[in-house]
Amino acid sequence: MELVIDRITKQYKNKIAVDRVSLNLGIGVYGLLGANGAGKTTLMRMMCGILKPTNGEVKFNGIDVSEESYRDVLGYLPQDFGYYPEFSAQNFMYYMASLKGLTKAQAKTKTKELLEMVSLSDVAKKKIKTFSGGMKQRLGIAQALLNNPKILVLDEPTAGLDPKERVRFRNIISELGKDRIVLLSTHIVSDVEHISNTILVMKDGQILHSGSLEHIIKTVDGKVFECCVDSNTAERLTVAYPVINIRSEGENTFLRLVCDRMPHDTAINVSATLEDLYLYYFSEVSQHE
Amino acid sequence: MNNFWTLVGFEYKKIIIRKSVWVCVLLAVIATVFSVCGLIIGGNPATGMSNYDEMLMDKAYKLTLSGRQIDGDLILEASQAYQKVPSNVYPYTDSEEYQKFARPYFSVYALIDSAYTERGHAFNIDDFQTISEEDAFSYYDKRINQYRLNLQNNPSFTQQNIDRVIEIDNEVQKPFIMEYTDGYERFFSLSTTNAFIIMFLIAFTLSPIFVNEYSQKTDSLILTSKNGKHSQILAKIFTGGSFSILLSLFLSLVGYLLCMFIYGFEGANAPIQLHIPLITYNFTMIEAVFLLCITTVFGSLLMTGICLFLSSVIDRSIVVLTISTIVILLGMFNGIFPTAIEKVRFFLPSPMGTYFDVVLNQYSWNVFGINIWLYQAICGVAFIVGTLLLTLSYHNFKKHQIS
Repeated sequence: MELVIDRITKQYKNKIAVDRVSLNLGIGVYGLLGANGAGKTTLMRMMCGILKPTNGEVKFNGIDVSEESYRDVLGYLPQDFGYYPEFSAQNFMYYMASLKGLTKAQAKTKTKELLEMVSLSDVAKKKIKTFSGGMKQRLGIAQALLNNPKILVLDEPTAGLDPKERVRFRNIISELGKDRIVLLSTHIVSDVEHISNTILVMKDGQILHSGSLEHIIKTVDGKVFECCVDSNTAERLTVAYPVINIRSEGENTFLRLVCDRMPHDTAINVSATLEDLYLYYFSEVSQHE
Repeated sequence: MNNFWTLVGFEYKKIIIRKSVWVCVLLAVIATVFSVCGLIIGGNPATGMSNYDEMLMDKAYKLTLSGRQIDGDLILEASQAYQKVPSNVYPYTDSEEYQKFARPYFSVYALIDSAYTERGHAFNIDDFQTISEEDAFSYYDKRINQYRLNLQNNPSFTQQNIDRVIEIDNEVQKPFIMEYTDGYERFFSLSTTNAFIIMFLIAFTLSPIFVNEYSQKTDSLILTSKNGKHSQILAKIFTGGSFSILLSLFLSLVGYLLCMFIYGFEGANAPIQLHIPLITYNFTMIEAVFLLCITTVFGSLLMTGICLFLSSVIDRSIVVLTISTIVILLGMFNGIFPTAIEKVRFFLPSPMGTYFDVVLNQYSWNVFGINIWLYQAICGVAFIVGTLLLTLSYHNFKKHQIS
């Protein structure tokens, strides 16, 4: 089982949204990490065949993304999950099941099973327009799993979920990643950290890093510092470097920052986390946004 | 086609789940009822009778004349009855003599006047009172000559077209036999309103069919699913087409039955010349009803094609509805197009459901030696253009990019 993304590019007039991305994805969970505008959604849309690449191709076991048999093994949760407000959750699932080629009997069984999985069984007959954001998101996840997809693409799936739902969802994804290719994008670093076998760091349309959590974190090893300084120094350091954590400690201020060299005489080098890496790469983008 | 009928079912569900659709259908039925009943509501102060009673009275007069040939004898008999109407009462229909003697023959006068109308001078009551025996007995010659003259004065008609119109008049049985046909006449009169209502309802209902998927962002779910790029699009097109056919037949049937129940079922086999004598098509009233239903269905299919095509390329439902409404209205107004392309109007959806556009205008074209009448041509064009637009809609949605 292999999903091959070969030098895929998307260019809009003067802007290159995705720039010659090549990936070979096998079974497992892949976390796509990147700031807004990094090209994550564009890449995912091209992988799902709803956005034509300017160059390059996407193939699953030799099947092109444009083919029906590719869509047959695909499950997709878009960033902006669309739904029919007047449909009940159950009807929506039946509709999606018929779109995915399931028989009526299969649709019934799968709908029951998946609505239970995402804790929507009790409200299965209620109209989607009455659902909270989190409930809609859970429904979106359920519909993506209807056809038992071999490729599961989830664009910010945990958006709108409360912490308890997020933990539950992570466990589901981890389970699903055992026998299929799962690609998920998120801003929530801890989600990626906990469930991804492979992390893909994307910036300006390119994959900067790809690998396991340990491998990725190595790129910022020795660049994460903690220090406790007076307020004037703290102010100067926060302007100069990406700050991961800041808090008052009596008259002083505690800082955790990412930088290439020791920021202050009293600073000590500490072990890096994925969040440190994220801020290291995307602080500039975040500041501009 | 995988799950095609299930998908069609869901597309119907998306339509009927909208309360606004039900409200519009209900309003359409109410408008149809009012259009049919409009003439029998209220009363006539001059006679002191209700319009409904007057309708029943006129029906009785017409039924009395039923079975009589429209010939010189009947025309002169009617003229003599009209001679009793005094010339010093205005309007003459308020006079007691008219009500007593002339009104029973009103249908004869109404039927023949167009044949005797001369350019710039309408055939009025004075002319009818003094009609000569020679004129009365040459009604059929005058009728066809009058029609020929009308056509010759119309620059849109070619000589070949005129010859063909006159030629087919030989197939129409003459003399005409008087029959009561008010139910059918009312249905034909209703067709203008009916066509507008049908086309507008189609536009209102079908405009969101693709565009709502874009605006609700469900397009990405559809287009990434196995059946999303073929069966689902075909299901949408089938739903649009079948819905518009069912809707047009339903509203036509509502109008027809209302007319029949109120005015009477009589006259189904009467020639359409008893309604508009100058037409030369050899159709009975019921045949004309079927013809109108067929052209309305083709008009509905064209409207479906227009709506679905617009819906597939525009991302706002209101814009689709606005453009569709403009197309409907363009077809409603005679004279809106320059003379050179005047006939284009007949190939828009709303005239295709209007009796006075489909049957009254006897345009024809000679295509490879075959004479094609307007009512045939509009069906052909509606089918070709409608199919083309639906095919384009299919491809537009299939190739839709989500960026």
